[in-house]
This record gives sequence, C-alpha cells and structure tokens, in this order.
Amino acid sequence: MKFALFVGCKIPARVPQYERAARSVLGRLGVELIDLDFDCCGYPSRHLRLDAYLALACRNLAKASARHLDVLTLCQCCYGSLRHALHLLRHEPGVRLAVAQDLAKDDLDLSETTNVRHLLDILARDVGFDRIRANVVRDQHRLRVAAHYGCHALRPSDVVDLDNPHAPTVFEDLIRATGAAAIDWPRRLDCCGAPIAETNPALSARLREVKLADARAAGADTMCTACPYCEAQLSPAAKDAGLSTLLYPQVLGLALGIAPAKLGL
Amino acid sequence: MSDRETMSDAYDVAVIGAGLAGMAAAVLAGNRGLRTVQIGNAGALLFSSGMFDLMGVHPVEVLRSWSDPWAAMAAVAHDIPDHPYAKMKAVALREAFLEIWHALDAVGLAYNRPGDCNIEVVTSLGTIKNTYCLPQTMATGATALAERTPTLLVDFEGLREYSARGIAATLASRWPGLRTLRLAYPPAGVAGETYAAHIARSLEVTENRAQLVELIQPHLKEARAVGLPAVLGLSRTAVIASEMSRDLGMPVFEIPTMPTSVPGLRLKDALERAVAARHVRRIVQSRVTEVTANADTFELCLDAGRSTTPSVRAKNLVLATGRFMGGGLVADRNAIREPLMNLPVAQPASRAAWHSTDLLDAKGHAVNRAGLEVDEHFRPRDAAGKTVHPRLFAIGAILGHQDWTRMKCGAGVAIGSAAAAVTTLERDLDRTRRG
Amino acid sequence: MPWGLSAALAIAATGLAYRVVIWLSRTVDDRATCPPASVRVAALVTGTLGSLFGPRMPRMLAAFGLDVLVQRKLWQRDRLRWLAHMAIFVGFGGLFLVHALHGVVTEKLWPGYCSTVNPWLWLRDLLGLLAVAGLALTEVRRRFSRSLLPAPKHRDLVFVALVAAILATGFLLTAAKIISAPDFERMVATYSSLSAEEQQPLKVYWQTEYGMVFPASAPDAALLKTGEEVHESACASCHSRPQSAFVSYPLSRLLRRAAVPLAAANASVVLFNLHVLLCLLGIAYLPFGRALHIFAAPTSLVAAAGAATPATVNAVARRSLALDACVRCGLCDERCSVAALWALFDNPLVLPASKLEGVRRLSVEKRIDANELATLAQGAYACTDCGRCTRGCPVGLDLDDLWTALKARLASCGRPTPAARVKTASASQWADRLAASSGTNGALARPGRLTDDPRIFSHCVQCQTCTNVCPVVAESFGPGGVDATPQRVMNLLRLGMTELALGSRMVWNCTTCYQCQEHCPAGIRVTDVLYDLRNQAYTQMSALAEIDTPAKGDAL
Repeated sequence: MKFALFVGCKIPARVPQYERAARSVLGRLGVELIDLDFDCCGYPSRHLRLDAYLALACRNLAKASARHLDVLTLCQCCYGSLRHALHLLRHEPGVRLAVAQDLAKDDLDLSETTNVRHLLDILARDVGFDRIRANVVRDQHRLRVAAHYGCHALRPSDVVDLDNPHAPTVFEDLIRATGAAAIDWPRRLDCCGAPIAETNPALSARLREVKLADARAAGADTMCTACPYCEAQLSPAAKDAGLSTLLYPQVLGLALGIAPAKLGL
Repeated sequence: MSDRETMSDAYDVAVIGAGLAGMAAAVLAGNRGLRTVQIGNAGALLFSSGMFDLMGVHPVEVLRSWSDPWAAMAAVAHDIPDHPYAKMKAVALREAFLEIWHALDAVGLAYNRPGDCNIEVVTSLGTIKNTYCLPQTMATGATALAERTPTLLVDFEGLREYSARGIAATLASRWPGLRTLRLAYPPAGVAGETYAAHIARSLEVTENRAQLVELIQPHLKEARAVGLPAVLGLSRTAVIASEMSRDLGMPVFEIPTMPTSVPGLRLKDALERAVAARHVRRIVQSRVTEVTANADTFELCLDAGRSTTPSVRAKNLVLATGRFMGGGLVADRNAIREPLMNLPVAQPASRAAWHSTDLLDAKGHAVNRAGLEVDEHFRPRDAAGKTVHPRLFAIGAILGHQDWTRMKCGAGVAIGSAAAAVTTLERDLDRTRRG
Repeated sequence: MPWGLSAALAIAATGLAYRVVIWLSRTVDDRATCPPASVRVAALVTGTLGSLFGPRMPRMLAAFGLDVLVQRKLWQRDRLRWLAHMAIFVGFGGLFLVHALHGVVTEKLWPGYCSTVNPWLWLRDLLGLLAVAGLALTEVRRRFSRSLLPAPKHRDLVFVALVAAILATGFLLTAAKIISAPDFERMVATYSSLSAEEQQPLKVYWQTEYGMVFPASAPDAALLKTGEEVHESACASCHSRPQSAFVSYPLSRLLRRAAVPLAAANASVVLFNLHVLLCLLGIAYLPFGRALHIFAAPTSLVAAAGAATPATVNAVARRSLALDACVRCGLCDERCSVAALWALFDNPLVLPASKLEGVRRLSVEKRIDANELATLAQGAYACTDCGRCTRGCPVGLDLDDLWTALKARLASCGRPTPAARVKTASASQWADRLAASSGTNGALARPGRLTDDPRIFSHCVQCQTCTNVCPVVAESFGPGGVDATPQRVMNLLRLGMTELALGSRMVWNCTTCYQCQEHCPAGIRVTDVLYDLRNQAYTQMSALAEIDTPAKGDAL
C-alpha cells in the first residue's frame, strides 16, 4: 500500500496536527507515504475560473501519475477537487486537450492514469477493519462520537466515491472500530458552513451552530471530522456547544496506543 | 473502490430503479441474504406523499371508493384480468407489506401497521383520500377526521401551496368545527418564502418546538386536536409529535402536502438506510446505458459520464425503471418504447388513442395504462406472449394495464410485484445452488 | 579622511532614520483605520522594550544567532543559495570587522595587529576570495536557473557593483603595493633607520623574495644573504611573505610589467583613495536599494521572533518594514502553491515577490492606477492563504499578515473579493450593469461551460427539491435573505435571463455542498451550474471598469 500523500494548503497552515496524526497512524498500519512536490489542489480557484482550477489540479495528477502512484488526500475538499478534475479529464475531451497543452510547458503530461483516494476510504477498504481492530490496544469506549462526514467526499456521487451519499456508514464503522460509540444524529450529512466562512460569516456561523447543537442534543460528547476545513470551522465553537472535536486519525491513533504528542494532541 | 469491483463475482440480483418498487425489491432481496446491487437516483420517492395506497378506487369511471382494499383487489383482479393484481396473491402482498413496514420501523420511520382497511385522510387541497398505510402522524389526523374532532388547522406564512383556510373551506360540509390559524414562523420572521423541509429541520430543535407551541397555545380554545402541514421533523418525527401533543394537551397531526414533501424526503431517507443496512451495493447518480444478456449473467454498462463504476454483472435483473418521468418508458411521436432492453410495450394502437379529448375524463387516459406485460412471475413477455428471459423481471409503475394514480394502487403494485419477483428469483437461485 | 567618514556616516544615519520614519508612518492599511503616528511610535517603543526585557528575549537571541548569523531559514530552503550568501556574508562581513574596523576590533583583541603580517595577510585575501566566490556563485545560479517564474525586476546593480568594486580595488591595492617601489621607499624612510648601503641588500632581498619591482637592473644575488639579515632585523616583524596574499600576489605578477608606469601614476595612492571612497559610498548607500537588507533583514528576523501574538499596533510597522526588508530572493515564488496561475492569468502579481512590490506601490498611494489595482486585486484573490511563502521567507517576513492587510486595503479601495463585490448591488442592478458593459466573452473557449447548454437545465421541472435540501436557504431568514432559491436560478436560465442570475445572492452564498445536485430527480448538475455562474460573474465583473463604492452595512 503506497500512496503519494497530498497534504494540501490548509493543513500545514492551520491544522498541522492532522498531518502528524495521519502519518503516525498510517505508518503504524503499514501504509507507505511518498511526498511529492504538489501544488494547490485548485479548490479555492474553482470559484474564480474553471481553467485556473484545472491547471492546478491537473498538475498534481500529472505529478502523481508520472510516479505511478495513486493520490491519498487528507482534506476532503482536496479530494473532491482532484476527483472532479479526473472526472472532467475522463469525460470531456475538450478539457483533456486544453489541459495537456498547458502541462506540456512544464514537461508534465497525463499519459498515465492515477486515482485519488481519501484517508477514510483507504482505512476502510485498503487497510480494512480486521487489521484496524487487530491493532487496537486502547479501546476508546468512553467516547460518544458524532461523525461529521463533510460534503465533498460524499457528493456528487458520480464524481467522488466514499460511500452511499444518502445513507453512508463508513465513518461510523471506522469509529466503532476504535471501540468508541458512534451516535446517530439527524444533521450528520449537512454542510458545516466552512466554504462561506469568509464571504458570509453570519450564515456560516449559523450553519455551524445548528450542527453542533444537533450533535449535542443527540448525546455526543465528541465531534469527529476528516477534513481540515470542517475541523477549523467546527472546533472554535465546539466548546461552547459542549463538545470537543477530534480528527479521525487522532481517535484512531489513541486507540492504537500511539502517544498523544505524535497525534498533535 | 468501485473501479476495482467491475470484474468481481456477479451479484445475485441487480435492481434498476430507486422508486418504491426498486427499493422494496432491494429490501426484500436483502432480507433473504441475496447479494444485491441497486442502481438509480432517489427521484420518484421524493415526490411521494408518504402514503402507501393498496387499492382505493375502482372502477375509476364512477370513482367508487373502497374501504376494504382486499375486496377491492379481488374485484380488480376479476374485472381487469391483465392488471398486475391478477397475478398476485393477496396473502403474499399482505406479507410483503408487513415486511416493508418492519424495515421502515427498524430505521425509525413510524407508519401505522397495515391491516384490513383503508383509511381516509385529508389532503392539503382539502380533498379526502383513501389510503392503506400511512405515517403515524397522519393516521392521527385520519382519526380526527373520522370523529370530526374540533380541530385547529395551522399554516405558515410563506409556505406555498398550503392554506389552512382553503382546507377548512373545502371540508366545511364534511368536517365542520375546523378553525384556522396562520403563523409567522420560523422565529426570525420571514419576508419571503419558507419551505416545508426547512421548517421540519428547525422543529428538530427543542427550543424551536417550544416556541411554536407557545405561538399556537393561545388560539386553541375549544379545539381538541391540532393539524399542521407535514413539517414535524425530517427525522425524529414520533418524538416531535408526541412532545408537541403533550405540551398542547391534545393530539397533533400532519396533513400530507404537495411534492416535494417532507414525508417523501423521510421515506427516501428511511429506505436508503434500510437498503444500506442490508449491505446492498448502492450506485446513485448513474444511468444504465446498455444491458447485455450473457449465458449466466446480465452485464449492465453504466453511463460513463456520470459513474465511477463502469459496469456491474448480476444473475438476475429487475427492471423497476418507472414510467415517463424516470425514463423507464419513452414516448415519441409514434409510439411508446422501453428504452433499455427494447421490451414490447402494451399500448393503444395509435397515438391518437393515447389521450381522451376531455382532460378530466373520468375513465382516465389510455396512455397511463400503457406499459410492460408480464407473466405470473412478473417477467416481461414478448408480443407473442412468451417470457422474454427467465431471469429478467419488471415491477412497479412500468407495468401496463394499471392506472395507479387514479386507482390508488401504486404502493400495492410496487411492493407486490417486487415481492413476487424476489420470491421467484430466490427460488430459482436456490435451485441452481442445489444443482 | 575623517570628514569623508563623517559625511558617509551622516548620510547613512539620515537615510536610516528616514527609513524608520517611513516604517512608522507609511501603512499598507487603510488610512482611516490605521492608528496615528504618535500611537505607533509609542507602541513601538514599549513593544521593543517589552520584547528586549521580556520573556521573548531568548527567542530573539536565538533568532539572531540562528536566522541572522547562521541563516538557518535559507539553509532549509535552498542549500546553494545559502552557500553563496554565506560566502559573501562571511567574506565581506569578515573583511568589514577584521580589516575595515581593525582600529576598533582587531587591534583591541590582538594588540600586536599589523595588517601586513599573517594571519591578516592571507586572511584578508581568503575573506575577499570568499566574497568574490559567493558573488560569482549567485551570478552563475541566476544564469543557469531553469525556473519558469518571472525573474524579480529591478535588480539593484548599484549594490552589486559597489560590493564587487570594493573587493576588486582591495585586491588591486594590495597587488599594487606589492610591486610599488615608491611605497618601499616610503616605508623604509618611515620605519627604519637604514643607511643607503644597508638598503641595497634589502632591496635585492625584496626584489627576489617579496616580488618588489625596482626600475634598476637585475638584483645582485651576492647581496641576497645580507639582505635577508637586514630584512630579519628591520622588516620581518611586520611583514609576512606577500605570497601569503594568495590572490593579490598572483595579481601583482600580472601587473609587474606595468609596475613603473603605475608607480609614476601613484597607483597605490589612487587605488587606496578609490578603495576608501567606495567603502564610504557603501556606508552612505546603506539605507538605499539592496544595501538596506543589511539592516532591515536582521531587524525583520529578530522582530519576527519577538513579535507578540496576536498582532498588535506594531504589526502595522512590521508590515511597512517588510516592504523594505524583502530581498527579492524569489524563494516565496518558488514555494507558492498557485504559482502556475501566473502564466495562465498573464499576471506576475499572482506571485508573492511581485505582489509585495505591488503592495509597496499601493502603500505609496498616488503611484497606482486603476489597471494596476485590478491586477493587484486578481493576484490577491488568487492567493489561497496556504502560508508557504511565509514559511519559506529567509528574512522572516510575515507575508500571511501582509496579504490579509492587502485584501482589507483593496476592499476599502473599492476592489473587494468578488463575493463581497456582489453584495454592493442587487441582482437586477448587476444584470443592468453587465448588460450595459462589453457583453459576453464568447471568444473564450472554456471547457465545461454549462450555462450555455440548454441540455444542462432544460429538463428542470421546478419540483423545488433542490431548494428544500439547501442548507443556505434553510438558514437564510429575513429581508436580506437569499434572493433566488436554486430552482429559481434554474428557471432564470430556462428563461434566458442568465445575467439576473449572475448577481444573485444564491450564487455567491452557495457552500457547494452538492446536496441539490445529489437529490435532483432530473439529474441536473445544480451546483456545477452555480459554480459556472460564479465563474462567469467573476470574469464579467472584473472586466467592469468602474470601481465600486464600499458596501455600507452587510446584506446577507
């Protein structure tokens, strides 16, 4: 199991503990991570110009495919962004042509194919629940966790491929694998509001508020995310809502007996 | 994940379609431990009113309404020999209904237990509708209607296509003692529109419910029941209804609304969860573009532009692709065809005969009764009457010789045909396994 | 020339003082919100004292040691550049301390200091050679760099020339002195009491062993031994073998033939004066151009370590300092995660180094015109705030903070983010504005353009499912709420009223959660259409010439 790790922009800048925890956990579970010189995934550029977004996203795909590696993203926005680019490349010939010309200037090309996966996907399907459970040494039974799926790994389901977008179970399954209780809560598939945090702070805060309140009302004490945008959006307000936030590799890491310092805790 | 699955073992059954028929087939197949894949968008379910009709009106020309759906079913089977009900046993249909009801109950969607009779409910248009199985919160309203309980009907400013005054006026003779109340809700006050789903979401929050109760309380007077549009939560409906009932001191019920309605969203959600719980492989946002029948399996090619999975293979294929809106049937200037496998469609001899000249003709229109003809196991038949393929099934609205909207038999046809198909294919799979 | 030194120092001091005044008065931020100069000065004084005598002092000391002296940040980013710069730093810096300041530094530490004695003789040449090698390495690296990024403009060639000239004249001076007979005569007259007979063997010795050139005929080898003895007693204590000056000595061999005319022209005096003059010019130049980095870069690095967080009033000063402390090394450009966009947009201001230059011009107010402002705005909003430029900056500039300030300033200049800009007018007003302006960008063949293709939206049946599942609509209450729900936007497209959709709040408040697209019974790509509308709006609004007045209050 070898992947090109795509850390993205948000994690080193604002949520570095996610990378640290992910590396520790994946290392323990036997997943090899290769570091390539990636650019931005293009997600922030997509709302300005499509060609700008594609230029950035496809450079990354080309770099990974040149090394015959699939991409493993930690951020769900990166995941959605790169998957969208793949989708457009595969299904719209005009896009492929335009992008190829662009990449050629930097000696990059897309002759190979590559796939883009997310951390949760890798853990559930490549590593597998049996292996995870076999490595758990510290059952997290005291945690009552509300899984926040985020948007861009679930939808649109013809582009991304984490789970059934209407009734996903993979995140709860992964949480249960650590021994923690996974709470069912009505708003678990709703958007956290992060994408409009700067452009419409009031609305963004309301979206966050209703989510946190809902999780609390359902009996959770922890909100678990697998995306730095979601984490950065939810964690500042979580304490007031009576919740703590954790990134999934942190929960898993604790269960695997990894030292909290290595998980960014 | 999906890219690796294409060459894996064939599924026992593939269901194309995610309406009630398709979902029922997936649930029933899952219950029997069959490896199932289901393809299709959650489309038709979103338009559901939330009520399951078994058999309501027959004959449609005279609008005869039946309180005993089983008797009605027998009458239909006798009068319309090609109707899907003629190929089903009432016992099997009863059991299938219960199985679906259990599945919904298990994922927290509370419907009244289906029994022997139809139930009359008030709709958002003020009309009375006959149905068989419906959400608990609506069943309470049916009781109020039957007993003519003095009721306060509440509506919300900005919520379109729902008027409490309209309902009360239309029902005046049948249900006197209805009063109405219009509220400005959600609490922030609204200048524009509001949508049922959003009201429903906000009522999942205890404080908001309390606020709504406070707004209603002063206006109760002699009312002994409160009727709201169907907005009591996208989930947790039972809790919301019971708490509000407790706080208001009287039953609170829901009245079904126009699509896209909250009960439809709840139903879609619940069926998706039920299907997921049975480990059915679910492919959303994809259309099947081509079906190839090989010796032992069917190969389904999926729309390359919209799918992360190129194709799937299954031993049995169940077509639950619906009618014109979902694309199960396609009409052009000349004829109606079944686009996926080119199955023959029973239809009027010419296009001129599709519609009556009177839009509101009591008999309905012939085009609505067009559809696939099937054998007693719900396998499509060709023009000569021969079963097209032993492991190909067609269920639900795509079937011909039924007019489910007028006859009020939609859910019954969907669930019954799904059950018949699954029973047959399970038996055949068993046989092959045993050699 | 004490007056020369005084003059140079005065210029330098005035220049530096002027710079500091600028740091305290110039601002990137909007004048209206920026604190007055008096407040900033007071804050700087208290801040500096607080840092120097407070808990952050150890970090500042560490920063000085690691980042200024050892240049750890540069080492981490680019080894080759570190090598080149360290060579110049150690070489030139060493020369400055050991040679230029010999009166203040070297003589105090080694009372027996004499410039013509080893180790000072070879040390000077070593340091000089190191500096020259460093300079050469920078030129070579620049010439052979294969980067596709635009080279930083406005290279300070004056600075490079000064440094090179100081080094060159230094070597030449020593070389000239080695072969200068007049100097020999002068030294003998000043420092010895040798008679003419004693001088002759000495001359022979010096001509043979020390490379001196005399106009007379070839030296008499017989006198060599005597000369050596004379040398030992009269000269050797202050004169190591000039061959130790391993650069100047070979240089002197090259000049040997011209020794006589050089002597006649007083070459060593001329070169000495030239050398000193150049050094004085260097001092005077300190506050200008690239030379400022000698003062500004350490200040920036130490301030970075000592800065209180969250940013205080002093952040304003730090931003201003950053504009001068930038050494145009371009390492930020190499790290920029959206660097590839500069070629696509044909806009170098996407890249941090050029963007900083743009900020500098912006902060000087009247120097920036509308076009430049638009270009700067595009660069500012292409930035994703990833922070790589900040983490990569060898002089510790807080670029993150600078870009945030830039965006705030752009907003107050009437060039806010597209999402904010939309709020300045209603959807109808935008429709009118856009229709009145140049029109469509039909020529742009953009792949994936959805709103032109009726197949994308024509089979919408207005079922309102998208609206019902939209979280933005769900939480948008009150008069300022969403103006066109998703299904309304689809309807506008069906009606051919795309311009009205471009300025709608729905398009810009969409969180791209894709619930609508996932639920649509007709399979319409609702979210992708909203993205497409945003892209169109962005392109068309950017083309609008007029600047918007800042929005009063916040419409949702």
